[in-house]
Amino acid sequence: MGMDDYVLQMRNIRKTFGSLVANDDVNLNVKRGSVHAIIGENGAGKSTLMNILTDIHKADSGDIILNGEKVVFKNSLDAARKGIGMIYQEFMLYPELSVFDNIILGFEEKKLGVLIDKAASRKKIEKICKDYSFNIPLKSLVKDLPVAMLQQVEIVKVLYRGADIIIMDEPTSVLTPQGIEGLFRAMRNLVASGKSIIFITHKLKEVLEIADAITVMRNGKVVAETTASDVDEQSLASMMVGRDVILQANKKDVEFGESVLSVKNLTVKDKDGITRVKGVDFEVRRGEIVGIAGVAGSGQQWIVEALFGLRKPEMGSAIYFEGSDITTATPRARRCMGIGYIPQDRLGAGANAKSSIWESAIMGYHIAHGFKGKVLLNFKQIEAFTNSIVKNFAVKRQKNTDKVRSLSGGNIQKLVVGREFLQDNKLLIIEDPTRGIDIGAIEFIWQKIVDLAASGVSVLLISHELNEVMQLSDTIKVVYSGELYDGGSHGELNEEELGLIMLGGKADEK
Amino acid sequence: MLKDILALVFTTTTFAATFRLACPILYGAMGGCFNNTSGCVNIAYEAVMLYSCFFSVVGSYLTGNPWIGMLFGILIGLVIASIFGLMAFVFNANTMITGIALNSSAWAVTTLMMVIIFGVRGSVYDERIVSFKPIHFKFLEKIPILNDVLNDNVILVYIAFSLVAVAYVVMYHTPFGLRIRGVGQNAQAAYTAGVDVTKYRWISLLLMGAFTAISGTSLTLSGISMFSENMTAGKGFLCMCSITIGKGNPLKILFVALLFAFSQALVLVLGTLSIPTQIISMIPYVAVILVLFGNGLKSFKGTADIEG
Amino acid sequence: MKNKIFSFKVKKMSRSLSQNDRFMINLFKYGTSILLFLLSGSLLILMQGQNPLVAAQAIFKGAFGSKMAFGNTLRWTAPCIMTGAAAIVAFKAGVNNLGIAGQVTIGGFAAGIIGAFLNLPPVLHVLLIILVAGLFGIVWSIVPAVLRLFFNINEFITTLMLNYIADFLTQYLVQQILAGGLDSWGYVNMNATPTINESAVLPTLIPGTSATLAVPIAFFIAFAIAYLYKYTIQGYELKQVDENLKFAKAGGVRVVQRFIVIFLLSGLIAGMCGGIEVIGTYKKFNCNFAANMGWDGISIARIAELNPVGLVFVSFIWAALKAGAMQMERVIEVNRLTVQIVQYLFVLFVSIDYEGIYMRAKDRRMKKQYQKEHQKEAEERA
Repeated sequence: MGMDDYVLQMRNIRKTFGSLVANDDVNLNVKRGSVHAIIGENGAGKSTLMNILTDIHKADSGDIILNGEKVVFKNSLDAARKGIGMIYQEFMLYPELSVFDNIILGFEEKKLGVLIDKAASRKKIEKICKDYSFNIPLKSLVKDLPVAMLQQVEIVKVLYRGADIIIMDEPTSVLTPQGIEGLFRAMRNLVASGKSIIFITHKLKEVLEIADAITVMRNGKVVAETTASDVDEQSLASMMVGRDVILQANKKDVEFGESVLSVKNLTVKDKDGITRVKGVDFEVRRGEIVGIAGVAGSGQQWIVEALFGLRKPEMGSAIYFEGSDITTATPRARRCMGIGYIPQDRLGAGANAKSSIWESAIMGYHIAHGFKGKVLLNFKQIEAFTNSIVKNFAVKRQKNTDKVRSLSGGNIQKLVVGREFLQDNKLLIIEDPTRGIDIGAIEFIWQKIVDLAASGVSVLLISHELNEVMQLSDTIKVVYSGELYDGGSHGELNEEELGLIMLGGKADEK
Repeated sequence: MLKDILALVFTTTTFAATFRLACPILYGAMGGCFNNTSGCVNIAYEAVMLYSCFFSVVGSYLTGNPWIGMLFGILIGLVIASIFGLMAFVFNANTMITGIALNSSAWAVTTLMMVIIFGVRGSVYDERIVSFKPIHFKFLEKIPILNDVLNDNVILVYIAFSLVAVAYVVMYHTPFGLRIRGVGQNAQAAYTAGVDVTKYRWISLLLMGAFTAISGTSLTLSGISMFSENMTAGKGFLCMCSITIGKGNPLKILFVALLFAFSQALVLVLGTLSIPTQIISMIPYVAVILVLFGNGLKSFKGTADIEG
Repeated sequence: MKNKIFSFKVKKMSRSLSQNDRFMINLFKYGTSILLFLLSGSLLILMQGQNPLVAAQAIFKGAFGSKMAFGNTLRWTAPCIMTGAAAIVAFKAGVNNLGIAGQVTIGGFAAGIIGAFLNLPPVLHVLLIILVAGLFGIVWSIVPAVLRLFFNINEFITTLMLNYIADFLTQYLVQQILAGGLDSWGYVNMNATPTINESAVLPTLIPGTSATLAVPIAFFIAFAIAYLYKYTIQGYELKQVDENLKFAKAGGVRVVQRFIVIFLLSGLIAGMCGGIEVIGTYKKFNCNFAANMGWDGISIARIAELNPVGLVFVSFIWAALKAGAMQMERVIEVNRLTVQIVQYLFVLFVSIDYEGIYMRAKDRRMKKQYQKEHQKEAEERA
């Protein structure tokens, strides 16, 4: 096999941030016209490596060899011009600009020297869409489009920029099984026409399905280079974490009690007056885990906000908690009644990055389970509660006065989850509890949720990870376009059937 | 009384004054809209304007040429903008406090320099300070109302209005404008698109400095040919407000600026009646709040809430 | 989000600073700022043809040279602390109250009126004035608060505009209503309210100086704010509202209520400051007496990094410079505006992000060290 087969090689890349070694002598060899997967847990150094490839970070040492020649990028633009296109996990889009503007920004076709040649740019985009069969509305504003569409915009964008190597960072995390199928089809198309794709993920099944070559990273080092045909899920998983992992929740048999949360005809509008939740009914019984699956942006956010009192539902909606009407109760009142909430964005609504650990640990607790006095903080109680979270949820921290931002993502998540779990709540609203954390932490949190339900707490689980909903839930609901559909009970429907509902399969039947 | 007021409000005199008074607001707003759109919180308009007022007078005083005066003003405007940029972009200082420090020291610095250079406090008045001359358009004479409103203004006024069109084209039809908007909405995305974020922020900031400086020049060298202590008295903030209310769109900003200019024109016009000047002087500032209020009515939900 | 420019470039890695780093950064920060401050001050004084050392001596003498001078410094410390406290309360909770000057003006005006036109027993009179002045300050901050909460209008523009409106409104009331309009020459008859009654005057703290009871009141306010943020649940919630609004909302903090409290508290302190100034120092309400007080307060608050204890120290130095500046102008030919200019230069110097500079330098050092080791290793291998 000659050198020419490789479109990209990275050799002995090393990168440090302060005392942290993010990449340690990393090597990567990508063949032309292939899908090359890079897998590893969070913090394994995948993103750093890609940031070096796109010249967002400069490597401390090491070489990049592109098409057989050593290159040194001057900046990101230079990297993009040389054919490296990156699709970030958090899309690099401008919400208030049109799709068209989003695609051309930075790479505008010009006329008369200074003006944008919109016609020429449009022609170029339309050709790309035709060649790779994408269908995107160029005039719409980005903020109005669904996530799956945004991903297509991202892909068209990098192609417009002339990308030869396309890097995709966790592209499937926001998609339905059908959306993933669509993406894989597009990927195969691209590879067939000579493009190369670097596919970053931690979902092993997908790797085995789409990837040609696989590089496994752990703690900033490459631990294995292999091909999809030589491995299976088990062996890949143990390479990734260095031990055997079986991602399966050990569900226990629980007798459900009476209805704890009952939602009738819940309708929510956003601030622009668009109806986001359309008359939803469901209930959660004592000890039951109800999971709501759905593609991102189907209305989950609005359901949760209305349930927790962060947004006012429309007239006619009713929410009952243990028989009392809480439709218009404030979050404070709900917390006092024993409703806990674990938000999706741990550094947004979940915890305060700027504050100390104890300050994030007692939020909510200080209201619902409160201190004896209404005025003064009780530091003894604070210390005790914070320590109990740290102990029960294995939060790795030095002292309670450290800043939250000094913790890793997984540890912050454990802190947030622990805070809500350790208060004597009767109902927990949990959003994406395992987003972006490593397999070990996922296992841990799953077990805690199952145990919690077994002890008689009701759980409403809203997750974008279909597998998580299927594994944990006793009853599954699927939200599509603001409406709620029945997804059967635990294990009743398989992934494909649920995926179809997530895409509106049941809505079509109506 | 009310009849008198209305009779005065809707006359060509008022509209002529509106046309003239919009000029200082427009320069600052058209230069500053890019700075604002690029996502920079900048309240140093007062400082740039006041410095430029003073240095325009100095330049004109030294050379007898208002254009040189303007050049002096622009240069000092660029210097002040550079200090702001140095603080905000290089030293990562809080932009609000940087703006406050610059605004507050502008009064002290210009007053001190006035004492040093001209040896007076209060205001400088000297016949060596030469203003721009009004331009007379022959063809306008035949058009009755437009003649009174538009004719016989200094060149700066006409440039100010043509600037709106230029700013609009730059904002919405050039790569520069598109990138500025991109930088303001998602700097990281712009960075990954190879846009030199720092460069664009600097350019837009310097534009703000240069054009807000011309605002200052137009305050001092459009006929009155004098500088007095703290003479901007909130006019810089009016530029900033019109940008904020117009959301960076030059056409909307024009509309807002005209509204503010109109309320300033009322100060001049109504002063001839026996309405106390202090009450009339409040009009522009009350107008800002009223316009914001009118804008905010859309988002009124009947309940109090804070959004980040 | 908008003012957090460039956050993406300085990648905030899990940055936990050691005690040593903290100390070094502070040393670096205040060392550099003070050095630059002295340097620019000397330069400005030299430019006016005077000896900086003589000027510094004059300033020191004017601030601490005699009982009267010290009293003068204390007299200026009080409004600095109070406006600074108003700024800290607001900014610490994320409220951009730029309208402190307006709230001071209105408070002062109320004090001038009640002081001059009401007859009450001494202590009661003073207490009533301070209370009403505070209430007027609150009234002046209700409008921006309502606009923000109900209409989502950013308060920094509305408060700014209300400064000008307060100025013109009080001018109108004093010049037109109280003084009955212009005299026959077209000049303003009066630019201040009548002198306040004996009973309304705030007692002096140190006899024979201009330091009044305003000083202990100001210290008390600073202390109360420090206590609020450090030891109370309310303070804890306010801090969270500022640092992460979404987090506070989800945690069940009554953000709207908290927000109003902050707004009004800030207005209350500013209004009280205006009232106390009028009955303590001027004995009447002068139009525009609050000219720079609002900006001074915000600047001092920022220098003190929104720390109430720091506020007291910074205010004291700020006031000493102010008191000294007048002495300096009397003794030597240096304009006292020089001091004001240097004060604001200092504000610029301390707002530089020294932590960022320090951490980047440290990063570079570590990288160099690593490269050295790497080279050594390579050599050894060879």
